[in-house]
Amino acid sequence: MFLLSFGPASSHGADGDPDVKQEVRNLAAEKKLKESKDISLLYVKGLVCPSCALGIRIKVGKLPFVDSARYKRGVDMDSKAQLLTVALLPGAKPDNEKMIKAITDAGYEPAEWYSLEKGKLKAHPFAVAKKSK
Amino acid sequence: MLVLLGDEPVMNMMPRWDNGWGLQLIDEYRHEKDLLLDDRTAYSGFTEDVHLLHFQGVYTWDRSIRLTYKLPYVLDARREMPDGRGGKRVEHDNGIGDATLALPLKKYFNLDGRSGSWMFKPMLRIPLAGNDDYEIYDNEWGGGLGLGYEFEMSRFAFTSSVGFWAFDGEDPSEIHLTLDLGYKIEPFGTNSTLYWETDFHYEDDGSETLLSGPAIYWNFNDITHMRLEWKHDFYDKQGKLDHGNGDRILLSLGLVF
Repeated sequence: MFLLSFGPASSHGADGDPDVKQEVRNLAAEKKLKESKDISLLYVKGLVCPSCALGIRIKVGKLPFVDSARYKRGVDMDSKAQLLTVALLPGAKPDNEKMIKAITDAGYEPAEWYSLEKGKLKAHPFAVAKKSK
Repeated sequence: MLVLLGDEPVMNMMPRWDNGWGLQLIDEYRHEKDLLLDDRTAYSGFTEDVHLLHFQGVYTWDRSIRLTYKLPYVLDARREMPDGRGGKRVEHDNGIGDATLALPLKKYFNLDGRSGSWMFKPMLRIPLAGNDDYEIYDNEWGGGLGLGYEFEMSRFAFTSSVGFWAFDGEDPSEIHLTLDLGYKIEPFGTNSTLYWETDFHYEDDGSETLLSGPAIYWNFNDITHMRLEWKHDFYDKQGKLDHGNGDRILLSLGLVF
């Protein structure tokens, strides 16, 4: 089945072989944000397996606003929805530029981050997500 | 006799991040049960047993540029050859083997539900082996090129590669093809992948070997990774009198930082 998925890389939103539709990812993101405090929640392209989170943990876990005592080095992931949860220190605000650089250095492509506004999910696409090397 | 491992440390996939490094130790055991010439068994029951340790390492300046080394050590190799009088002559080899340096250059891609890379890999073989009754490693300089394509999804993994080697001595040129299909599982809350792997080797003296078998990769924690694989020679043809019809077992321990 997946042998048929050969082809050049593309950066469009619905590229690849999504395991979940965007609506399903949105539902998972909304649930996560409602259940958890002091987190940053991101959709990261390519984050498809638990082992993929190794580099993310190494790079993101070192950021000054990350609470590395929570989850695994401050990082949790949903590989089906490609959602990355980053634990934040109480009261800390995430620095998106540093977050983008850390995720990109780890080998993946941050696409957008999520917030709740009046109980509804809002997606914030990253303006400049560096392409994979 | 196959002496080249196409996979790169660590476990062919890590580290994927900038300024990462890793070490891998592979314990390899091979048993070949016959002495072949062309595609027929010339001497049935003339065996060869080889026990190797492979010391390997990798460093990534940038995740797309990595340097890898592989240094094999022959713990013990023993083969049975015809003595010309109707009996067997037993020969041995041990000690350091020929090293391989490689510079895998990777172009990664990240998609919605799929991540992978294209790879181009120049390789250099450095003669370090000594002289014994016979040689697992032939103490020859060699140059090689490899191409690869791989991707993974949340459940599936796919790896393919082709490699070409030429040597400055008597060793024939070689072509290697690999195709690995993987299915991911999560036993006891850990990460694991079950593979079915197939390798085809061709040497320009007419030797051809098709090996295939299962493998399991197990990721205990962020640092420690293990892999166990078994491959059987499903098709074996030797251009000159050499051992074949065998099995190969490899146990790998990898550490990444």
